[in-house]
Amino acid sequence: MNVPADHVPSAAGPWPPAGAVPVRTDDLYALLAARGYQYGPAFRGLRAAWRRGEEVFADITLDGATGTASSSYLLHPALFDGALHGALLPSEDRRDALLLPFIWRGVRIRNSGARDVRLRLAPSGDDAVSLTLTDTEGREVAAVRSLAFRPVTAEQLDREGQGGTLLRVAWNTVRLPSDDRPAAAHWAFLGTDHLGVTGALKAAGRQPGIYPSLRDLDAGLRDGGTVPDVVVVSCTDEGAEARAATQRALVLVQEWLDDERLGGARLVLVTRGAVAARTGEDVPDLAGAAVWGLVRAAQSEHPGRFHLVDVDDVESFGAALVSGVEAGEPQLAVRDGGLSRPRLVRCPPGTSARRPDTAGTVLVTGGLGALGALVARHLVRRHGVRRLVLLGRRGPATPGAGELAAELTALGADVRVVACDAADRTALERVLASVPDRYPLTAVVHAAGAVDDGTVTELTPRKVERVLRPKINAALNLHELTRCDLILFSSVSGLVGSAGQAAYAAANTFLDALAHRRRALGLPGVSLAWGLWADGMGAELGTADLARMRRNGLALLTAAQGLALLDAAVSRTEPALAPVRLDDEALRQGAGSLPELLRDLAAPVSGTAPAGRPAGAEALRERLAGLPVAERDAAVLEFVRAEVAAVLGHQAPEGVDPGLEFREIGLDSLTNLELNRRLATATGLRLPVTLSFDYPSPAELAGHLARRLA
Amino acid sequence: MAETMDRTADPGLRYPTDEELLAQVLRPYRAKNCEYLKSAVVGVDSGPDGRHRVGAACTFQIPESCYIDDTGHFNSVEFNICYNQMFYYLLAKSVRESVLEPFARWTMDDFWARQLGDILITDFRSTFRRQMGARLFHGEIEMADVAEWDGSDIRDALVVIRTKCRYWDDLGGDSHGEVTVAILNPPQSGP
Repeated sequence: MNVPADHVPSAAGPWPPAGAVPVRTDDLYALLAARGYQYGPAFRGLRAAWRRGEEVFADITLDGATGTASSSYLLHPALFDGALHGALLPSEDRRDALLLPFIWRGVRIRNSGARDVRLRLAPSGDDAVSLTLTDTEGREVAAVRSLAFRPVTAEQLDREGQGGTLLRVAWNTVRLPSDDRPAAAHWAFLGTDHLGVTGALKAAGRQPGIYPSLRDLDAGLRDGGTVPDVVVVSCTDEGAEARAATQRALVLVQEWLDDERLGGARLVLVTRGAVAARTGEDVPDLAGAAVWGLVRAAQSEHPGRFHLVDVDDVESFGAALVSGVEAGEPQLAVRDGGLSRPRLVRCPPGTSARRPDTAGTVLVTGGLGALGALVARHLVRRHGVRRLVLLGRRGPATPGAGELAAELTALGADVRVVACDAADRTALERVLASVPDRYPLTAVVHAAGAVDDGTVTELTPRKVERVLRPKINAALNLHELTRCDLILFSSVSGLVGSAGQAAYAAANTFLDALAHRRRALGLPGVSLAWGLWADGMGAELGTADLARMRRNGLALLTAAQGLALLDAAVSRTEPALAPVRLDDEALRQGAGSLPELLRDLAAPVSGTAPAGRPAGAEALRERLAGLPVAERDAAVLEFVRAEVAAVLGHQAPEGVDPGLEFREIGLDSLTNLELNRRLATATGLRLPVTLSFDYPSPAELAGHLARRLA
Repeated sequence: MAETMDRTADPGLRYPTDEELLAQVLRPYRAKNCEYLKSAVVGVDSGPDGRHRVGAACTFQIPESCYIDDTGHFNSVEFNICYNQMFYYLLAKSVRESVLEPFARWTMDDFWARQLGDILITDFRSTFRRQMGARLFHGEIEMADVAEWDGSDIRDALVVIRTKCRYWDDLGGDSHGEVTVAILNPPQSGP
């Protein structure tokens, strides 16, 4: 039966209309749930229905709690959604199909504030219907001339969440050729020797120069002492808090990058118990774990300058440390004299060994931020969580908090929005004490965080503190004050050492370590080192940031992908996981530009680079040598413009004006650093960090490089 | 862990030239006949990041250069001397009026004990846009960032202040700079 396109069925007449036969609705939502439609209590609005031939009539009512909010809507979503359920009434031919609204035509809605509506639904062409909603007086509330449905399969729905990858850190054995050559490198030890490193170095045949402080190192160099090739510093001190340890590491890193005399010296930061290099290993040195994050970022910004080594308390660690560092490995663990290095690997298929208990109250810190809100919705919709406490520093005053609470309430959840800084222990204790005994806390999601990006040379203690406090202090408080499932939202930036995010990386490796700690203590919890969410911080990234992320082998996670990964991750047993989206294209390019931890995920590259200078540098020099002299300068300029374009994420070098200053082209301290690094790799030249200040435009820089390459 | 409240002054406040303090601050320059700073109004404003910015609006007079015959223009050495005088005064006034952490925790004795020996310029950049006469001109200084570094086994405690400054006159002369100052041996902050 076809209805003329501009006609909507009349609402007048008795109700239910003459000739309409009642349809059973008491088991409607159970049947729909079996077909794949999961409706919460507030969305179960269809109360009675009738059929007359192919027409359907129904009563739809908002439930009490939801109904109070109806006046703020043109038409309450739960009421409108309930009307569509009229199209889903069981019928012989489509009992098992999962239909989704696909094309809407001729939609008209009146501002009625209605709580109870009557639906008239009639077929309108193939797989389409027309709908009319009236209030109980017969006045029109809404009309849809034609709504077409399309069947989907459950697999199609799940596919939306595909594309993410669950990774975990594996520590792979590093085998180095035994080397009996006499030591060529000059080793030194700086600072207090908390871990017996000097003794271990001596046992390994190195005679380190000893400098109790940077002042002593400076004095030694002024006196004409040999500049050491490798300087080791101990970074595990049982008494040190994370902020003191990270600040001390930051002082060292900045000093290393600032003092030109140390330009050829590598700094080795040694910890004990700061990483879980073996399955189930405790991570007692949480402060040291934060140092790992900070230094990983410093390694990304300044490759080849810093090493991280975590040792055990077996005295023989010296030989392994020396051989690993001399072989140039940037990140190492020594266990029982053996070396291993961290690599992110794909998780084997899960067995759903664990299922978070969502029957009680779930607390979400940062629950009013973009990510926290996504998770809160997901917990209610997908996991049937009915009691939520959403924490935010500004609580109900947070923009969007009221809407979020109303939305979750409409979905059937009891939601409390609380102004609380979880880093404030007393305030958090108050919130936890207010959770009713009947619905005890069964899970906590710690999604709060802050970023304050800047290169490692620009960081100050205040910037670091701004990032550490909401993540670290809050996580520690939650860990100490709860015994329930603690899901810590960390970031993959701590594992890959995202350039420009040293403080953020430090905060996140602390969280990962805390999860290991908690599990070693027998308490439930997991740390999820997320890749960037498109809806979270990813929404604020510029072209250069996105290009850098891609070169790092990572892509933005969609909300569906992130939430699918969340479900997959919390059902597993590992204490720490990295749910990310990999950039397959970057991985296909080989391990070259990838962060240390992602290298094993890259496709193997055929052919080998000649020893010594990198392959890129050879290629560039050969290409230049093959050109007539008159064309070389232009070729170098093209090369510089292409590198600038690559750093900025531009498609073509033509967009880079050779005469403009780098600042005007859009380079900031981080992209400057990256340009410097790329140019150094491609030319094989050692370039000062001030390069783009000394030669502030592509043309000037190209001129300088051309002279040095000639 | 309770967050300590910053004891700082409200944005919008202005502290007129404190003649007695100015004279005391410039005492080391007296014998050399180079007390160039004549007035300095210290102000507290709200920065773009919501943090307080402390600065000073100053006037200078250099009737006669203390180290060279009249060059007819304001030069980089005078830029530096004027900068030092502005910075010393701004810091002293910040201590006296408790306008900014960590200086709000200092005593005046802490300042006098450190004024010459423990306050060092670690980075100095100056740009001269348009030549300026040196006889009578204006200057301003602002503390863009104050970083308190704790002491540890490897380095003693340190306060590092990044500042911006500018000088100009009524005839279009203009120069500006960015200067980083380190304060060694800062007073121990309380628990």
